[in-house]
Amino acid sequence: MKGRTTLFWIILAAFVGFGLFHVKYKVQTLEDRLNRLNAAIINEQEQTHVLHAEWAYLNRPQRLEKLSRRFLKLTTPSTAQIGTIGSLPFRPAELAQIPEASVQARKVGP
Amino acid sequence: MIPPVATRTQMDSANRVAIETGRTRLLVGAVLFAVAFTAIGFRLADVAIVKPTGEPRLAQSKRSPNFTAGQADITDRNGIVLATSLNTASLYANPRLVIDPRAATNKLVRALPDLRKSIVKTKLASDRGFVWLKRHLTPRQQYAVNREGIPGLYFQREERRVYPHGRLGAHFLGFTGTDGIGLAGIEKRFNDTLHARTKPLQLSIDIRIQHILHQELSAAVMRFRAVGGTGVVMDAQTGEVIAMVSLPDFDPNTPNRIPNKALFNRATMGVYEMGSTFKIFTTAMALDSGVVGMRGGYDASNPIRVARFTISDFHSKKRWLSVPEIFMYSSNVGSVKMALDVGTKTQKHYLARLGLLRPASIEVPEVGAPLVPTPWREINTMTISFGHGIAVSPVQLTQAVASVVNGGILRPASLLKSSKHEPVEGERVLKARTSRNMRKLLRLVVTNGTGKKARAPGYLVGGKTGTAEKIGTRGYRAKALISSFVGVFPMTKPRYVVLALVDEPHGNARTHGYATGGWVTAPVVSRFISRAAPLLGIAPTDENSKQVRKALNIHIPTIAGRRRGKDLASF
Repeated sequence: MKGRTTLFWIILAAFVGFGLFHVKYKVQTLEDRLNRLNAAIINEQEQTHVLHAEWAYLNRPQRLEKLSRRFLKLTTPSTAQIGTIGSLPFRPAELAQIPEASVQARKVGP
Repeated sequence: MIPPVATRTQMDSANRVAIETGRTRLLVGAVLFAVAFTAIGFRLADVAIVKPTGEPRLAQSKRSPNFTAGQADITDRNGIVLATSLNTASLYANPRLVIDPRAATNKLVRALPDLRKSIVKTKLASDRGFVWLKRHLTPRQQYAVNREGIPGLYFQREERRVYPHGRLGAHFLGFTGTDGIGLAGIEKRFNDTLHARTKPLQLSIDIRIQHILHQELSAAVMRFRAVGGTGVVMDAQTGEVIAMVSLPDFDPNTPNRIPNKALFNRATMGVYEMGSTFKIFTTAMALDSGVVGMRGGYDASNPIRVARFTISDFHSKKRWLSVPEIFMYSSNVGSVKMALDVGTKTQKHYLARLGLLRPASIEVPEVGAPLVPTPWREINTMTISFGHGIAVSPVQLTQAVASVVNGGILRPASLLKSSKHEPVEGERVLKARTSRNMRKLLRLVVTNGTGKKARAPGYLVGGKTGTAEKIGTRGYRAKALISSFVGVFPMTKPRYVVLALVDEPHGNARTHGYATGGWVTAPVVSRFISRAAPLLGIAPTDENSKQVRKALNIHIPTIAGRRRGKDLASF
């Protein structure tokens, strides 16, 4: 009887010990992984930080203006080109025949 | 014979003593243990039941980190980065570990061609443990050095302040030294704040508007071969500075190559005698204090002689002029008479309230104090009425003009973006009625007066020209002018005030030799407004519409004492 109890406790202790070490190593691996991920996050943040600076640099108004003049051939809009919704004329009567859907579809195009 | 009892008794008593001692000791020990166990028991109960400390029930992971790079960024009002800190690598060497200085030098100069061979060689051959070779390498340069694989060379991670927009905004941003300490502008003023936080500091500046102002002003400075110029754009309702340019300027990315002349911030530090733009304040204070009405006027047919000065008009009409005429023809004589009616004390009082007698409270360390006459005599009152004998900074002038047109409330100029939810506190300096009349007068200058070249169709520009002679060693120099124009738009409900000022412009054939505010800076303001208004979200309006006519209509009496005059709708 006494021997059995002892055996029971020894086995229990062995299991608990094993479990404890298992958990401990698992935590260690996870912590290593966390540290690696944190380092990676910092690295990514630094990269985005640099990219932000580069984005600001590439978007300098002087540069955009030069590029726009070279590739887009746009000029400063005149006041006549800027209007309000209120100043738009109503739809002409002949266009009113066209169902709403086809007008919508035409607007969606590129 | 020895009696055994006696012996036993003797032995007994000896034993008893020993047993007694033992018992006492046992008792002491038992008591000690009992106390100790009780204490442990209490502590156990305390730890286990009363306050459960020790292992937390929920494991706390390490807080996920945040990247920090020296100082916080500075952004414009739309969040575009104006200043940021980047990590860079700096190259240093431990010469004691350099095996062959000559070969190392050759390799290094191949990788970094801008290094001087002789200097590198002496550095590497020296007997020290540490020498800097080059600070702040670009990633490409770092790669080149790494590829050469020179022993004894190392990199040190360092931070560097970078200004992606270069010259644009150099004066208000300022710059930092090699160690990251702000040495001018916002960088200096907010040095501690920027080092302490990670959230970017948002300015009121709009970099697109800044670019347009910079470009137009630079063009004018070049065209008129001027020594410099400055421009300020301010939100008339909040006092936020949208753009601020000072020329010549510098690149804050190379702080050790800035000429002293370029460092000077003309917009905040420079104080100038502004000339006729001061007539805005003279007229406003005359109308506000009630000494003259919009239909009143003064005889401006003859120049005024005071002491050894003669005050005359540039475009003299040689007749009685009404208040609107005095303003639109920029009559000195009329303004002087108006100021004399106002009186020295009231003039001083109004100028103080308009913030023209104390330094501007803008958030840069480089703020110039106005030059104010002491004592303030009648002759000073007369010259100040048309902007001479008092020198103020462009920022002061702009914020004062904003208060004249925005309904009469002065809000201090600020470089920080104000939140939409908290309206900026202001101080009432003029009556709303005065402000309304001043808007009409400013519009009149652009439609019919000296500022016609500031017109930007659709945006209802109003404003005032200013031309002042600079003070030289011997009095005023007729050939050295400060030409300025202060514009406001749209005049029906002023949103922005634009000041353009050019220092010592030279007239050319296209301006018939003139270098006055109307010829030099009014066109700058016109072009600026045409380009910037769409970006600022101001829709063009029909300048001939009924509402506009009604809001800006002005009656100009032309002859003294007579009711007959012409109604001039200013459009």
